[in-house]
Amino acid sequence: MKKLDYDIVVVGGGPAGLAAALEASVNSNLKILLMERSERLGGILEQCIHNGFGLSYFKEELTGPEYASRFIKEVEKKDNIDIKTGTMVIDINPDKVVIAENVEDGLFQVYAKAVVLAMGCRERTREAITIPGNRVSGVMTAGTAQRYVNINGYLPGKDIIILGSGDIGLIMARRMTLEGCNVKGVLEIMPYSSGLVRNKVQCLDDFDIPLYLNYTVTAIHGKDRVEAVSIAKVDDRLNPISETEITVSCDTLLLSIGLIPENELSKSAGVKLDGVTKGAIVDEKRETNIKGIFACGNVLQVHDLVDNVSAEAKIAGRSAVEYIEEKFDKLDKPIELKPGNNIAYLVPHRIEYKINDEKYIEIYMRVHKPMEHIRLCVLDEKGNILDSYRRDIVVPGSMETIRLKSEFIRNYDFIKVEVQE
Amino acid sequence: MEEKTKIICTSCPRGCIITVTHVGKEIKEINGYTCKRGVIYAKDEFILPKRVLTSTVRISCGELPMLPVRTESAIPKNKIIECVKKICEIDVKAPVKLGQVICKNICNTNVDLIASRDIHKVV
Ligand SMILES: Cc1cc2nc3c(=O)[nH]c(=O)nc-3n(C[C@H](O)[C@H](O)[C@H](O)COP(=O)(O)OP(=O)(O)OC[C@H]3O[C@@H](n4cnc5c(N)ncnc54)[C@H](O)[C@@H]3O)c2cc1C
Ligand code: SF4
Repeated sequence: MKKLDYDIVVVGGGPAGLAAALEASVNSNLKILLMERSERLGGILEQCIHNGFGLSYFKEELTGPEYASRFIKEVEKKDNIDIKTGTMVIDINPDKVVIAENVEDGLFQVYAKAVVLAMGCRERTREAITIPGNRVSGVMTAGTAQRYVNINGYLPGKDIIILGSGDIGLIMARRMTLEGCNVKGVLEIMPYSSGLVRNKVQCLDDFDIPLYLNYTVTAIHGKDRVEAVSIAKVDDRLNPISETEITVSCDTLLLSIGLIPENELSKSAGVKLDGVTKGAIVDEKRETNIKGIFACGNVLQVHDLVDNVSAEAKIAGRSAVEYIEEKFDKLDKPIELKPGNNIAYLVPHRIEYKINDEKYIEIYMRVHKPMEHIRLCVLDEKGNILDSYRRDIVVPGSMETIRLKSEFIRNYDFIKVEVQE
Repeated sequence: MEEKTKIICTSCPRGCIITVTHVGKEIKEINGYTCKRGVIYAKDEFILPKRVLTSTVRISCGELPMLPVRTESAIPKNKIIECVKKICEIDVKAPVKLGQVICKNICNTNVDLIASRDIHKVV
């Protein structure tokens, strides 16, 4: 087996992998290898042809491919980044030996000093929510349909029902309508849409596509191809109310029911995962429990905005360099970050290092349930409020960030973040 | 006769429902916003709602069969369907460069349709 040596190996060539490789390359002369299983770089952005990317990172509204190409062009210019596309990473061990394969090199090993995990996420499928009914064709994730339409130029169907009001589902409702399909409606089990307001208005309202809140699909009918679905209203505990069940004809059911970080490789490397985010448990450098293995982007936590992915990946890329160059300066003991009232999770999970010139550390989080006119409070171990941030509204579908001031990074065992009215 | 039109502000996740009171096209009053951005949004959206249109066109001899395209800036919402029909008729040949004009002044909107990625030629 061919053996290669690199300082930093980046797994995944989506926006996270691209930004991590670029940042590492700008800050060092280290040798970097970027591996991507698809034939082209860009990750999921390649199929997200709609606009709305880059507003905070580039201060312009770009489409997915435009956003990706800004990074791809920079990465391709760097002498210290080698790129292998069409290359699948199949194993990583805790000693940072990476095994991959492609047509040109066959099966090969890479010895890395540091590894950045940037494998992104995949969509939840029908199996994840077990919809009863026949195993027919025409049932697919919204992202699969997006790839068919935008990359391959195939139309997956004509009469469409979409389950789940996440952004990808909303975007696809518009996209299929513009391609001449009849999108009969979007069903959402929760009492609120999990997508951005902007997407609801511009993708559904603009085209008079109805959104049915508190509704779900209870059965799928058809012989070879889906012919109809049963739908029903749900009660407070999200159980379908049988009296409300009706059957609606359709030839395609698109699922937009959430994303799961793709962490199989992380697990084989011995990386510990968070039960809520399904991503790695990391410190503020995005370092996992395995020294020298970092994670960023959707493989770490499902982001709504690619701008945050790029920002997070830069941290991981820079940290990989600092790790190799041994620039880290540890705190006497780490500070745990604990989610309190109405906070589902916090990333990072702990703070390990002394803060140098930065004035703050950004903490990402999601809430469990929507609330209005609240404060996100930072509390010390005794429950004293150290700092607070006003928010008019918080919703689970929209990630929140706060800037934890450097003055609070001192002798605490833990710091708690919670929502207070 | 005074009429009321409801507009959902999309400038932030709050999504205020703003009411524009008007006589014909003349705005009399705007209510229901929480911040100034909402007033500006509601005015623009009431007078002439505009959107950036994104889609794909067929491309031959390229590494991919479809080329993603967008209008260079926002076009009137009521022109979207007409533009989509026009886009269906377009065929291009690789290579194409990001930003290249694919259809000038599409449907007399004074806005060009441009490519949103590079597509290399394959032989
Ligand atoms: C279908 C879909 C649609 C989306 N639409 C939007 C949107 O409209 N707007 C928005 O802001 N965000 C959207 N998102 C979220 C968006 O994906 C993220 O913001 C961003 O793309 C995440 O970047 P990433 O690099 O972490 O992951 P990805 O873009 O998923 O990139 C991960 C890359 O890693 C590669 N990879 C994975 N495993 C391996 C392996 N073992 N070996 C080699 N390579 C590997 C994959 O092929 C992929 O290219 C969408 C996500 C999905 C899944
Ligand atoms: S009016 Fe202001 S607060 Fe309300 S949705 Fe618009 S921008 Fe947000």
